Amino acid sequence: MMDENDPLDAESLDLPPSRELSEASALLAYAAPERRPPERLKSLILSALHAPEAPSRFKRWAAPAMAVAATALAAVFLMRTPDDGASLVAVSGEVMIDGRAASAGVAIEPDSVIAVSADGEAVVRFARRAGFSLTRGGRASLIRDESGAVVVKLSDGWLLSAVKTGAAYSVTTAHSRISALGTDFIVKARDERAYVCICHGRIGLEGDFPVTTLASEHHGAAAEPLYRSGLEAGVEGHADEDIDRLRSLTGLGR
Amino acid sequence: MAEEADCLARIARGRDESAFSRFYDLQAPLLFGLACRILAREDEAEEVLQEVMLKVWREADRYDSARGSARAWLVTMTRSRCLDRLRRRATRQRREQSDPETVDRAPDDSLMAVEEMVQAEARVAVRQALDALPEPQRRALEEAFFGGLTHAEIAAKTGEPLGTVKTRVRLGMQKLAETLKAHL
Repeated sequence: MMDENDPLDAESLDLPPSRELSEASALLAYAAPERRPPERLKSLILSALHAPEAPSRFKRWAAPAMAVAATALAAVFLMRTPDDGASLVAVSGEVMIDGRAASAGVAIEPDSVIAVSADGEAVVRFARRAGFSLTRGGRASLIRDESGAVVVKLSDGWLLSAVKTGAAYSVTTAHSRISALGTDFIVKARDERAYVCICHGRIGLEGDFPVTTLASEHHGAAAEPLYRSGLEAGVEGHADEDIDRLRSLTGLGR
Repeated sequence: MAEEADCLARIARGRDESAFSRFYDLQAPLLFGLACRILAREDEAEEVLQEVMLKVWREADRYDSARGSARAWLVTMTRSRCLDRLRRRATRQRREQSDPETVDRAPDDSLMAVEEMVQAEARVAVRQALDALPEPQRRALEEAFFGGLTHAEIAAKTGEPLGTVKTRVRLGMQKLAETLKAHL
């Protein structure tokens, strides 16, 4: 049952196939200190048992995006959106809103918390002006900022965003704030680091460095200010097809 | 192991949630400990455990006892996912240092049902068996199992000839299989 290339399996050790060897290899797991996972994880898993599995079309789309691991703990993202309501337009895997399983079509009120499972996705639309896809065990909450605008605070996972030209849009991390006008971009955060790819368009960047405007015609960004701020740039875990799909699902068009 | 096999069968037959819950209680500490040891990140270990357990729920009927034990099936799934993540980390050159607090917690003493005692005995036996191996063999096994390193990568890391590394792993595995026969 071990992988063919496993350095511990019989074949790679020039030994005849041996169930005993495979079983002994599995027993090595006992050499790791046993750890009881947090209780909330069991609750999460149990609540996901009856969630519908992703359709194959989604799986094909998700594969490249999922290929690069991404979790975030410390970074905070804020997305300014028009104050005209948000709704969940597509769901895959387990998606919870305020701790309850959510399905496509439900409205998302300010102060709601959206959470997706490791293999899940939540696609959210803001009245055809902006949309995002939250994946990789992502967690986000819709809040109002000091000016009263509805914002999204993302604390975990990947956020792929598409924005209609002219719509205000910003992302804030612990060390930087990214404002976009008519831009599609993806952001990933991990601890205090973050990754940004401007898929197409222009962003404004603020942080522990001079305010900068960055632009890219096709996946990229002027890397220097991003690196200075602890951000990284470049294409990772997404493709044009992902943007096209997100725009289609959120009714943004090109 | 009889109880876990029974749970798996009940999950496969009728998607029995109580069986799944019990199966989780029995296996999660082992798999989570393994994932924490390999990944050294609790958040990623949680993701792996979630993936594995949901796969068990959805694909329990695909488990074939003729090919190996349920434990081997679970450990293989968990380890493969962890090693995939390690490789992706290496690709990004962001491999992080192990947090000792994530790997050095003692087992919870409340788990003392028969099945847990069997696992506890296996744990002790594995540790004793590993301790009984010559240091180079034990280290090679741990590099391969927890580090996901190939024979060539272990050789490069230790500066030993590839053949020597392979021999150490082979001898170590054969001794382990022999010593742990009662637990296989």
